[in-house]
Amino acid sequence: MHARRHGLRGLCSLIVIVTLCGLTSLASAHGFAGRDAAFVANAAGFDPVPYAYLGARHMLTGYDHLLFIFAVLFFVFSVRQVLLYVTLFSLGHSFTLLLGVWMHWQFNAHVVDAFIALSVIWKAVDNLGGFRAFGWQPDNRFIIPAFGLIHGLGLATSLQSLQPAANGLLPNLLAFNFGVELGQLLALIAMLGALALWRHRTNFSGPAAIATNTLVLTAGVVLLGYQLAATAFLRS
Amino acid sequence: MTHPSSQPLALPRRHLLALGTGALLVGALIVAGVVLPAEFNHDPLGFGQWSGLSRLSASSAAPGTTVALRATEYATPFRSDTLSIALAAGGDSAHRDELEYKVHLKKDADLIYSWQVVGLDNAEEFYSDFHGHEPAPATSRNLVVATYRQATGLQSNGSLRAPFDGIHGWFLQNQSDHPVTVKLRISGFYDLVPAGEPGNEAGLQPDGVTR
Repeated sequence: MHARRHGLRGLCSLIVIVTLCGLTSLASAHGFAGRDAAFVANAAGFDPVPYAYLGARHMLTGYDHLLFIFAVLFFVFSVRQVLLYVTLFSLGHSFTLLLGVWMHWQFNAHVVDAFIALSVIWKAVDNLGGFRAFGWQPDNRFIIPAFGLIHGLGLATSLQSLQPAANGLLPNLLAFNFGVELGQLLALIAMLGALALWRHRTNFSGPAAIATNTLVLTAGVVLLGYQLAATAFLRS
Repeated sequence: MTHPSSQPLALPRRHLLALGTGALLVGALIVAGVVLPAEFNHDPLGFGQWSGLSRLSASSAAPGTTVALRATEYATPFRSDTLSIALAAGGDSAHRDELEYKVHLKKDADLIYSWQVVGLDNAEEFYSDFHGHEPAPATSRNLVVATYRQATGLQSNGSLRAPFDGIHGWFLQNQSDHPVTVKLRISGFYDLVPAGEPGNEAGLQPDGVTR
């Protein structure tokens, strides 16, 4: 009874976190507002702080990235494992972010974001034991950096939609990437803190864990639906 | 640090399938009921219409594009004028069978206009050229000229947002063999060109000022 009450409290606080993240509108989650586009269009030359800020904000307001990181962290308990998976994920998304912008890869942002939504769904199913139950446990040391590559494509696509000037592109890109990592670190600290509290106080692998991951799964389905609808209905 | 209760979840397949199906159904329901009407102006379940969510997307000019919908304010006061422009029979060079009448508009200022030719039945016998150019250029080279509408016809109704600061208006030409009158009504954020200056060399005056 005691444990269940704490579990519910943990679940409630998580729902609040997810809802707060969701308050930033769907439309602005992955696009940049016109004001930012104007900034980038006017910026030429090395301008690290604004680019780092845009990167950090993109991460902190992009709840598909946040949901995925949260799902990755959910059943990772040791500091070593946290560092391993976060590093693998960061390597993945940094690689495609830098390469994608540098090589001017043009992808449909909504298709990329649909794959990012799929990564959320995948990890939620993995957390629920959905693969194990059917006799297969995917190796997250490969899966997570692979999804990192896809998340990086999303970052690259959104940065390119701002049409950054060629002058000073590489250092600005690195600053943006630095901001992304910084934002991710902030999000990580908050999530690890919340998860540590929850794990410490209650039967972690109980109904609340099932409910939370089912919620993440549902959110992934909604994000997927949103991006598919955007692909179908919006002319880009 | 290992935690005794921190075991991976191991649910029976039956439960997993139920959870997965539930998540899929709820997710699909949210997408169809809320996301589609609110974001994309599609309402497969009718919930958007019922709840008012559809209003969020129904009025947007173009989904997916950021459109700054804002009012335009002008420093120039609003005014309306009516002019009766008499034109002699075509070819009557002793009298005036063609003229230009323009008003001054600042860049992005709006002008609404309507004119009709009175005393003529054949639309082929009246020619007009609606255009604009910079005011009193210092040199004739590099003069910015914009043509808005060149046509024969007995009437014209429309509006113009000036593409640049300048004088904008009509060259009117009577090609018929009898005199006509053009009734011109204009409203908007413009200034009249004083008689005799470029744009109003004919020295026209409004019928009665109705500001």
